[in-house]
Amino acid sequence: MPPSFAETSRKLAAAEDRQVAQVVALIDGLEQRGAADAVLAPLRARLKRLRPPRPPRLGRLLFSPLDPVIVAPNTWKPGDATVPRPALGVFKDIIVAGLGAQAPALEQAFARFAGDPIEATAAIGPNIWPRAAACLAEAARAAPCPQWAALGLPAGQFAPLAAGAARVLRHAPRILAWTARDAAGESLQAKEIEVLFGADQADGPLGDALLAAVLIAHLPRYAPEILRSLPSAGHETGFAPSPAASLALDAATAHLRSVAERGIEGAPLAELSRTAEQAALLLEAVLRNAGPRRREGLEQIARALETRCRARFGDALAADVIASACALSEAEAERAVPQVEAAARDLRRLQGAARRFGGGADYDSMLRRAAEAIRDLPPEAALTPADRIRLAEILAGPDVALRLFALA
Amino acid sequence: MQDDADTAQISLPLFQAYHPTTFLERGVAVPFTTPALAGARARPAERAGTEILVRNPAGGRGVYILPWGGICQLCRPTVHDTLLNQRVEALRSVTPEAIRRVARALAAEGLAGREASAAAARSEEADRTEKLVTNFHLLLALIEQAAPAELSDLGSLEQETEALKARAKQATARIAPRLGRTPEAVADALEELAELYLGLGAPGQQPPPRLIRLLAALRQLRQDMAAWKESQDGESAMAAEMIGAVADVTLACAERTIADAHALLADMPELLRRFQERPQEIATLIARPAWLLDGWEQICLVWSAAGTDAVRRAALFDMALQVPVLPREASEWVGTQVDTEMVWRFRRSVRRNEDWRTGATLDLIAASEHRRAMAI
Repeated sequence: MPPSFAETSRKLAAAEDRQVAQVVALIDGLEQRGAADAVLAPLRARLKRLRPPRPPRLGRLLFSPLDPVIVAPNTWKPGDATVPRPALGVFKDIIVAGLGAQAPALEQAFARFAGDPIEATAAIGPNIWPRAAACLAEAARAAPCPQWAALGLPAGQFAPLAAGAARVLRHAPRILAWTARDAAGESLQAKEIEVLFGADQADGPLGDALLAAVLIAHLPRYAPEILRSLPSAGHETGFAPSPAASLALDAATAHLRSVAERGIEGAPLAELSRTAEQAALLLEAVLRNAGPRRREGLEQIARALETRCRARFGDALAADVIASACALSEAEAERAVPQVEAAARDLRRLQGAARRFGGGADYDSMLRRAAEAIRDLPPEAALTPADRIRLAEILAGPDVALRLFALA
Repeated sequence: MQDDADTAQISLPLFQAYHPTTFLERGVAVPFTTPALAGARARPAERAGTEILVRNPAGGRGVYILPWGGICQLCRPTVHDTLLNQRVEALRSVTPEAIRRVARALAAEGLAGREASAAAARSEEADRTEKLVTNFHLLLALIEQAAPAELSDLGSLEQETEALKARAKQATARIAPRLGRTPEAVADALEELAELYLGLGAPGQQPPPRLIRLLAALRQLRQDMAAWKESQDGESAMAAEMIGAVADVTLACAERTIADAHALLADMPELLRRFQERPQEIATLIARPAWLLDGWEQICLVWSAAGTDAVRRAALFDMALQVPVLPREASEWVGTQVDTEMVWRFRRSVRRNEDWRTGATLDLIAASEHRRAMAI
């Protein structure tokens, strides 16, 4: 990063949310973001929480399937099953050139979903990803790539990274559909996953590992099936894992570390339980496949996750439930009570997921105290008796609520 | 703490065979918000109080038939459900309309959330208006049949309520002697009948009363099930086929019983006479559509709330488990043989989607409360 950008980045870390949003808007408006993108790197966790309005970008759509394996250049090593963020700029240029006249039309189509990138991704992504994959795969075969040299990344890493990214993008529509099925509670079959790893041996271990790492991050409950599907996987059998499995486990461990360090404090409350649940599932899956050295690192990650989840839970319980309930006015109660209830549900879900890292008794005790605090709010608080009973029930369960309010 | 699992790991009573002969034996659907109690029904117990019928969570034949204490061993009911059960227990007779009213009163107090509370208040107001409109239609029918010359004096529904009541009273006073009744007796009978016809209204009544709207929703559901069965395969298609088939029979029976109830209005003097002599017989006849359609509203709402194919697929398994079993009494009501076993034939092959059920219980409760607001 140029020194001037490094200085800006440091200043931004201490800036107010409003100022951060202004800088993000400025960088988003640049035609060529280049190194300016690096200014945002240390702020990514904060941006997740702030969610400043950001214009839809074709690059963001193209590479969203790769999100779990995209890393800052200073944490990337050649051979890792991760993609250094600067590589995406080169990949995007290759894809745009390969799409030719279709690219501006796609950019326009994407812009029509301004403000709803998730819907845009669902609507346009499945059409564009396979075509983007074909462009990247062709570029990988025709390596070297002239623009790659300007990034300062090893020349020999272009072809495997481009081929690996192409592999993920080719299967991205399926991954998106599976993630939706998983979120709806529908089971996947192991044989559906195996198909992804059977026919693409040409991409080599890095392609397998990138695809596995992306799949594991999106579908952690299927991590065992994903790892078993890798060619020559030796995990869970006492043999050394295959190179691809080992790389995928490295990427999954790096993803977990990133969640522990930045994903809990920054994530919106409504998404936190999913983050914690996915992290717990991923942690369990990686632990099952870990040797002693990796296990030690994973245990550290688990402790960090436990500490951060518990702290975030306690803070949110005090601020978003108890203080919010206490501060409600009669006029806003109709609209605000369901919001306080939603926050309480988010917290119940969070503790359900986070207690897998430990601290179950602490969560029980905090929830019980919060239910009592709701019962004991002054009579002039805008909550009706029914509101109080419901909040206590959401927090501590029906039995506690019935007892607290002497309804049993 | 509230378990996310639906059932506690304790010994439970055995499932009991469930081939109800009468609708009362089938029980009345109770809008519980606890996910494990979705589709549960209440009926009078043999000795005293009520018992709850809970579907087999594995999707097979049979139900749990338990007192409330047993239900608390099966799952952890919400506060709303505990209080709702207390009120159901206090009912003198368990009917779809009685359950609807106690559930709505509880929702109005806020125990199913503010959305349901506001919906309950709107629903009470809507019932009052619908009863007034129905009463007017009944009076109109009576005058049309007994003294058509009086019709022009009655005016229209658009009048102020008090003016309408006054004109109705005058018309009733003129017509009552021809029926050999006092005006007060005729007015009281019409009001009682309007109460019984609540949900059905008179033929063609606008806006359509609640059960007529439900009938339309069930027709749409049948159509959607047929479309799903055609476009999908696997277990969800089988579930859709079963739901569609039972909906089809239910629709046929409901349409027939609604036509029977409406046919009574074609001879109002005779209806008043019969109602005076055998009020319970008339009330039973008019209540048949409500018994037939009981439980389908929740199923329609589960389907209409499912926004994507993945969610619809999961919802179908849940809907299949809630499909009401048709008692043998249905055949007597419609005068033809009704296949009452079709639910079981299909249900044996419907596997419950455990992943969907073991998701966050609180979300399922919130979704259930939202459906309460939609249903009230």
